[in-house]
Amino acid sequence: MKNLTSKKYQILHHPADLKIKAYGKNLKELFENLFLGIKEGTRPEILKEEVINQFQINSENFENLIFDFLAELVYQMDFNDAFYQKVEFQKESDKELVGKIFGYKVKRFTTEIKGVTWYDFEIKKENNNFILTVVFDV
Amino acid sequence: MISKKDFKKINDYLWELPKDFRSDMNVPARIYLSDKMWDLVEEEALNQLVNCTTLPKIVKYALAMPDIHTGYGPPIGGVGATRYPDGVISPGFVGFDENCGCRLLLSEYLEKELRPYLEKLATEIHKEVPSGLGRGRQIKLSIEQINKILEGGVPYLVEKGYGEKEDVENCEHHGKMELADASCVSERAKNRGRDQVGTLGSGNHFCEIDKVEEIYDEEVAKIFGLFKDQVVVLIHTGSRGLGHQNCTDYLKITMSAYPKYGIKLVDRELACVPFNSSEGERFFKAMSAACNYAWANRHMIMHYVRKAWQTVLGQRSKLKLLYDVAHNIAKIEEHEVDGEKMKLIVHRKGATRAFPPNHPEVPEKYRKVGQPVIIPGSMGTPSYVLVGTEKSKEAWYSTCHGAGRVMSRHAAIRSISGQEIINRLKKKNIIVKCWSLKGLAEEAPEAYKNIEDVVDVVHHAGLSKKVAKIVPLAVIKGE
Repeated sequence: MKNLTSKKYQILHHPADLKIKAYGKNLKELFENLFLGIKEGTRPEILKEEVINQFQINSENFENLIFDFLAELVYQMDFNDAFYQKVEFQKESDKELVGKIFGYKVKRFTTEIKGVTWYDFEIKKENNNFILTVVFDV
Repeated sequence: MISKKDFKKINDYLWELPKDFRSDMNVPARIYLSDKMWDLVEEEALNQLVNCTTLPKIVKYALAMPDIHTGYGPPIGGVGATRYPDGVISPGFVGFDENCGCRLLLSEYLEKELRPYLEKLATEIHKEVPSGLGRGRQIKLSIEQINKILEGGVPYLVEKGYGEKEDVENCEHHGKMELADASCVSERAKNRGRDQVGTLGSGNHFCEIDKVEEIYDEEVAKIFGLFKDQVVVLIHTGSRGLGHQNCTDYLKITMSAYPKYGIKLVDRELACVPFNSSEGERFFKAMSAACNYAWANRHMIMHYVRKAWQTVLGQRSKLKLLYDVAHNIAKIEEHEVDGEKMKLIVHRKGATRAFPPNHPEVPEKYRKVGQPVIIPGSMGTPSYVLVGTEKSKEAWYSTCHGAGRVMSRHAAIRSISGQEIINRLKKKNIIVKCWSLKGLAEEAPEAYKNIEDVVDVVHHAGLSKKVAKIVPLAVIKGE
């Protein structure tokens, strides 16, 4: 078993949907590791055209903020036909995230994500590392 | 821990978990299963079923069909009815793919007559019907056009020259829920839907050219227009990105609103609000609009399939719509509860409506025998046409919706390759058209329960009766 600092993500068992556990020492690393898990779960055919999209999330609390960011991500992936690999924050607090996501246009996702669910959703901090568990309906 | 031993056997196909199993249960939980299928039911799916019994004002029981598997919030294969109008409505008990469903088209051809044209037909349909993300239609509809589809559904498209009057009659709810209100659907949802009308999507969604392999009920089959060796076309998809976004939007609204109604949740994905609250009413209007979009989507796919059919087989070749029915939906329906007729809000998440003979909502030409029910199999396996029965009154006139997964997509990819599946189907003389071999592996038949076992349970339980078995000749996959 790798230690938490080197582990990026795991695809966990779920009979129908895509369940991912992602790790990161900060939100940027957490989300970028999650993107790797999403890539494995959706298997996009990535094109050369780069895309950059902006986001602004305001939520009641930190847990909702993370959830709302993921809902935003699902929307951007579908609406822009894009797969994202990087994230940059201009503002980052427990109730607000403002920034940009960077990625590439895709020809198709082998498996498309329909939505992010609250089922087994968990964001926690252990030994100064974020651990996120999320089930995407696919 | 919850398992078979906690359930009381009511008969060979119906089991009940008493209300006193858990202190927060408002009603018992019921599951339709045969003895041999119990081993395939995950404990988590049973937990999710029990969680549904805690919904405020749920009536009689929470139900699970034999294709039950773990979902989020309620299990897939779950049915729950709440009192109208003060009972709750839950976006999570409909699911992200609002009005995912099936439609079946009938040809006049026998398999042997069509076989020489099959490859060409499959290729033409694959070309005409875009499959999934990134392969939307080339033209983006305007928001105004989307609004018309959201409120007008199938009748609007027929008015515009796509399809025939009969297509409206042979669709659940005539392809249009009257309470649909486009103003309740977000711009984001509408934007996601602008280039997806007439697209299949990925996952287990597909279009199949099938043949009728077996007829179980000659009389009903004749009324449905089915005969042995007949070629038919099965379409399985839903409301695409528009419905997914709509569910996401209303989950957020519901999650914020439920505490003010004094509702306590055991699972956040079961977030719900009273139907007669402002949030509940808006969700129902928005969900109805997304359902109209889904019917319009399947209708347009049918239009493109008909176009492909005529390109290959000539202008006089017709495909008639047998029926279109949803399996992810919430409806206001009249049911009998303890001898008294009352309106209920019936949630079906991975369950199909199956109205009985003489029900006013069954198209007139089928009314004498009952509503056609279309149950899709997994890839390369049979699908079924059933008919609604009076017996299914006990399940709010509901039946199963498909095979139900038993293996994760990830595990399926590890256990079999897409090429192996193509080879296997080729041996069975089945043509496959798809964009991705890995997508194919996810949908391997071994990732699902045996559809024949599932359908046998609902048949023997009397929730619907088998009319015909159809088997694939060509599969056009969503991705």
